[in-house]
Amino acid sequence: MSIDFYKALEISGIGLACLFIFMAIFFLFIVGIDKMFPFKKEADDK
Amino acid sequence: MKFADLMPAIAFMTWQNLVMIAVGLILIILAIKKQYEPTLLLPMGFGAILVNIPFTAALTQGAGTANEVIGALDVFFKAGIVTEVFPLLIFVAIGAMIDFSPLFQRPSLLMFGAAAQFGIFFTMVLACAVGFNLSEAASIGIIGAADGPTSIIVSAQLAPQLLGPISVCAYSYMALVPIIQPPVIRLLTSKKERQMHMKVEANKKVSRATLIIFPIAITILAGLIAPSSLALLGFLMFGNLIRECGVLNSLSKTAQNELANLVTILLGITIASTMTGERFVRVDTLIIMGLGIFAFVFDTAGGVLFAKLMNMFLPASKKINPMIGACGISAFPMSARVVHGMGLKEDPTNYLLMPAVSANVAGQIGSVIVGGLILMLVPLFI
Repeated sequence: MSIDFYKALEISGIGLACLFIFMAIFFLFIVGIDKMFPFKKEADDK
Repeated sequence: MKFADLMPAIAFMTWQNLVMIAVGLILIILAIKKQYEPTLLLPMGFGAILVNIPFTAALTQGAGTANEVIGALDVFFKAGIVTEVFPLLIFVAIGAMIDFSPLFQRPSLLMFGAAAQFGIFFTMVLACAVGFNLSEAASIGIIGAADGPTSIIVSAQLAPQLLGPISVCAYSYMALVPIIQPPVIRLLTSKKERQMHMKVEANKKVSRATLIIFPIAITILAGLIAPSSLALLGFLMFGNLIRECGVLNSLSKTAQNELANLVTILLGITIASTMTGERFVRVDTLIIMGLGIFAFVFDTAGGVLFAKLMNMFLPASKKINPMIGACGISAFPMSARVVHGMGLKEDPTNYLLMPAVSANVAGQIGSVIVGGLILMLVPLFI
């Protein structure tokens, strides 16, 4: 296999790990802001 | 007077040009008859005809000579694709069209936006194994993002010579989601799994403040972690902020309609400027098309298998129908509709639309992030 093949494997590992970390951070953020700014009927219906 | 002087276009027509004119006609037929992504495939199909007539004035002729005549498509290409302006403007339009509130119904589905990008990386490795270099392989893999503008930006930066085939694959395969995804999903799931119902807080409402803060905060967060993703994600979130702020309704509608339509016209026909016979009719193009299908198939498989993995750790009341994993790609809302339809086919009382849309929205974020990550990581390894 070429050097690029092993580089691609390494990028895949790092890329997927980063992607899951990103999404986990976004998940925590979404849960957080949803709790901090809950829907209030009158204010948000306006 | 020689025939070649009198009729140079006919005299210098090659078989590659004829093949590309046929490809252009097929794209136009697919766009009109089958309605496969007509907004892009039609301009691309027409453009393919336009640029494959020898000595076409749409492309620059006599480059570098005293008789140089600049073609409009080359001007568009340099101004809109090389600078990434066209795809980024499309992102503003897409951002203005996306409603992120389904993500707040069940935020854990966000993880499918990551899992269903597995095929991109798998295909990148596969492309390296068949002989493409790292930049080309990454650009081919990104076809699996099912996200046309991201594919264009990544390939324009990493492998501009492959921009034509990659764009055609990205857009035409997006339209083929209803054909590509169901067999893969059926292969990886049992009938019992496909019939699984999911509990969703369908009536949960999201506050306006949350929807306004979301695009701003995601931009800052993503920028701090991976600045290279900011051009993609930032424009997407800017469009979304215009939509959600509530005071720019006119701009939001313009972004969703006029801007999207104008840029789409220019984008399609400009990409076609790379579809000349000598650049497109090559064995490499066929291999790229094959690898593009692999990327889609393994994205779908990655999402479905990740859902099964999650189910091993979730309580019975929170289990996820594994088909939802397949919606983690960016093809919105096609993928969600396909999975919802499959759920109804298995059990007419099984409504999966809401979780499917949530995972599909996550896929839109995931594809943009993965584009940014590839743009950041690949140059570090070259």
